[in-house]
Amino acid sequence: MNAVLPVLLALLAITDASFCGFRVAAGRDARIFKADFYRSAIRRGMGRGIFTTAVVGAGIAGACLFAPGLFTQLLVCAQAMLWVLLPYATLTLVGMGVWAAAEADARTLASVVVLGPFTLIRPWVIAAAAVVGAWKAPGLTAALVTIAACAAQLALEPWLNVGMRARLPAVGQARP
Amino acid sequence: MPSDLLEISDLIVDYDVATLQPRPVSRSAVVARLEANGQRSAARLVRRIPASNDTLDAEACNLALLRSHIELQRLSEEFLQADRLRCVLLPLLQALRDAGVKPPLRIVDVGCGLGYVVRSLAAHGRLGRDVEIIGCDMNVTLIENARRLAEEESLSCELKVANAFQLEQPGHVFISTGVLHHFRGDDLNAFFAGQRQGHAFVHYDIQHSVLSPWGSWMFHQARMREPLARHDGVVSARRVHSTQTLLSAARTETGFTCASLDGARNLLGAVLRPMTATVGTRAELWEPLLRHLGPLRARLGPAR
Repeated sequence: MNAVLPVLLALLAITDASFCGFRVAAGRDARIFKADFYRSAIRRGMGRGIFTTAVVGAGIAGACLFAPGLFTQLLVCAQAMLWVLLPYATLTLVGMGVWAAAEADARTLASVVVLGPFTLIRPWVIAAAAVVGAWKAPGLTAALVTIAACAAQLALEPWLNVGMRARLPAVGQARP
Repeated sequence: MPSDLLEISDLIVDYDVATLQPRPVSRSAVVARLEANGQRSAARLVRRIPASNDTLDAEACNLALLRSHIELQRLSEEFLQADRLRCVLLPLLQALRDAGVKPPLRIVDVGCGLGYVVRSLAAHGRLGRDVEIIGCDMNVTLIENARRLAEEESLSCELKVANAFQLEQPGHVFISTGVLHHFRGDDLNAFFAGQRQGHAFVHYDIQHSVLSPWGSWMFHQARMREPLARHDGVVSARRVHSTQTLLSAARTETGFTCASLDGARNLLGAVLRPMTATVGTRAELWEPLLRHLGPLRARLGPAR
């Protein structure tokens, strides 16, 4: 249990970062065939997600060295956060699965009911997870670490957005 | 009754319909018009567009439109717009062939913008070797970029700065996506009247429903970045015509047999099909079209 919760949160963070990578690229390239462009954008998001998760993880590990008992407190926060994040993540992945595999009307339904609204509420879901995690935290340090980790995740999409431009055939190409 | 809110994209560029030459647009006039219509946030957006001597910078306007169309394409892709259109075009083209219409069969996209549907049909359409796909728009910047995109991917389609109803070789089938709501009254009638020269039309637009403005707001907030696109996206959904208005204008002006496709009969219908089509053919083509439509036939409304 001790290892499962942080690993699960890390996996969620990296998956979310990959989606962010896709989102910042979507609507920036008007070609018809652009699977490579999207794959590269997802890899970019995933890379930054792994980096951010590693930095946050290293920070937490360092803090735990100096504050015995902090790790146990953080597990309480992690568990509380997962009550918010897991249903959101599960529904999003189901929506993605339906969009990728089903026929036109079901794909549209997945978009309208899940993918669109869930993109809109993502920052609020992460903020809610931070609030719930901090609320349940047995100590102030654990609460602050929870909020800082969520803030890092929220900062990912704006970071990925930096330097992204529409790929205008007349002007040049956007990254990635 | 559709809303009379104004779309910024309709106001910041202007063309002489006869010569297709762009005309200067006064920023203060656009701002005053939006303010008089109670659209203060739209007026603020227009105030931010660069201008010299009160004339809006055409390049800045076209660039904003270009970025908006690129973002809009992402929504069309998500909602499978080109696929939906292809599903109607395939039986329609078959009906034209059965009726002995001489090839090449010309599909003309009216107000194609960046030509997403035209390029997508050319890329995936499998419409047949006897079919020509032509996209027309009056915006030079959009068409130039559309051409570059088509060239880049070696797509077999034509993109023209032209009035779709005044082509040297008139179209057999006129199509459009998200264009109908731009027209009101006589302009809507003129839009359909222009299609008498053809044999059929398929015009997709946003579903007229109480949910549409909310859905449009949500998707434009979630998916679009360009303020102009966000604004116009929501206004578009509020401007859409009811099925009855479209069918009435289409029947009166063309004399074709017309029906709506995917018109929502309830709220679930509006969720499943955010776009609906107005379909019309010359009377003699209607029965052959129904024969070829297959399961799609059940999604047609009553024809007249």
